Amino acid sequence: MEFESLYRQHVQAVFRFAMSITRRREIAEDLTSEAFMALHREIDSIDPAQLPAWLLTVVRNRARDLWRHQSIEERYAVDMKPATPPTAPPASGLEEWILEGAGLKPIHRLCVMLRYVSGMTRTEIAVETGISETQVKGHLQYALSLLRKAHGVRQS
Amino acid sequence: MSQPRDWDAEEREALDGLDGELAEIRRRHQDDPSLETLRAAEADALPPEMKARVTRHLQDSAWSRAIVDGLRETGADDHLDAASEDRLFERITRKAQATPSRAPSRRRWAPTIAIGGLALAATLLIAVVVQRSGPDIAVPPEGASASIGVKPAIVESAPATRVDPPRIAFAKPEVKLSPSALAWRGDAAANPFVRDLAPAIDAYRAGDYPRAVAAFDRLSAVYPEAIEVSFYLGVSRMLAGDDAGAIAPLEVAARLDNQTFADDVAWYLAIAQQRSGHPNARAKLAELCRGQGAHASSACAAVAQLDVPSPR
Repeated sequence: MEFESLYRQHVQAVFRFAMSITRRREIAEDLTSEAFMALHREIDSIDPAQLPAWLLTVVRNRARDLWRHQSIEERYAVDMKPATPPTAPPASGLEEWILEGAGLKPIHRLCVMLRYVSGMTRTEIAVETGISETQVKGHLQYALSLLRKAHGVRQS
Repeated sequence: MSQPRDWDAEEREALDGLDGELAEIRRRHQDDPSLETLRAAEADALPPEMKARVTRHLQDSAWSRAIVDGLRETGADDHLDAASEDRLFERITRKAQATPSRAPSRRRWAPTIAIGGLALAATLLIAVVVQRSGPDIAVPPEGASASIGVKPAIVESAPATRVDPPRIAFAKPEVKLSPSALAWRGDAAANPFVRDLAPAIDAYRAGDYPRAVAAFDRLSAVYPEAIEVSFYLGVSRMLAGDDAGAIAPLEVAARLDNQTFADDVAWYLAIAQQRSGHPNARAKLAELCRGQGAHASSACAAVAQLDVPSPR
């Protein structure tokens, strides 16, 4: 099978996987490019039936290389500090509601966490999650409507 | 991060009175793995040692597990548009054609390899390529594995119309920080130097060297004593094709005399000078060759290549 045909057939899946690892489009394109470069080199020895899994493995390995190199930097070093003691109870009713609130789906929880705890803008959340800003706003509005009900008494 | 930057009226009303609880939640989770880390863990794209730590954290943290659950519902719409798909294909094929492929090229170039195979193998083994014209093949950094940060496997140079001086090829150095930058122990986002440096480093990693040069240039006025700025400014200029322009910042980096960067600074400065036709470049490479630095073997190979009469 020709390289271009394989590229056209699998590039979207590979790019989507790369984006799931790094939300940075230019890095995802780099990872995708490296995977297909590897395919180009090995095309005579690759069974097309192994694709796209073979390409995804290349992406995964390259991403691991990136993490190894990045880990020397402060901003990643601090990333791995010991977490909150696992036995500690939720800090508040709000945290418990975010984690277990009835009616909330995982995507709602994620948007709430990123917006109100991580302090992201809706645009930043859209970039980080790959969903549209309008969808982010919708998820937040829905979550806030549930929050109002749950905490209505306290807020009044 | 701790204060709402752009909450609308609806958000302010819904979260009124919850500031204290939100602050406590932020405090509790300020040291959790980042979104980036959790995303990579979910894709099994972390090195094993990091993956083990994140896995242990996830076993204990409902908060981080909830983030991962949310991430699983995202990204379905990620795609390359037609123009990007074509552009990427062109980039891949261009690089593939410039990079020797394995089996196919062995067959295609069998006669050539039969004649010049030993010379080619020797050239690759010493990891320094000297070319009179055409692209310079960048060699991998010593002791380093493949990195997606090493965007230009091929450092392009303009086709020569005459017999130019030999040009020693070089590998893109990995990003590292000096101990003084690493000494910060607080929130990385609050470290002004790391924060200011990040966009320049990101551009460098992404292979956007003009942007990296511009960013490092700006930083050089703010952080004249920062080895990272002068060193990566010089290297970015080399990667952008401005070998002569790389010399000044690399000389600044040399004067800063930072032991973390000393070997790299000496090596890249010598290469920049060699590629710019500096008369003392060979002597500097020979000095590196005689030394015990990290690039000594490459320097010896470079000197050997420079001393070989060039093919006509």
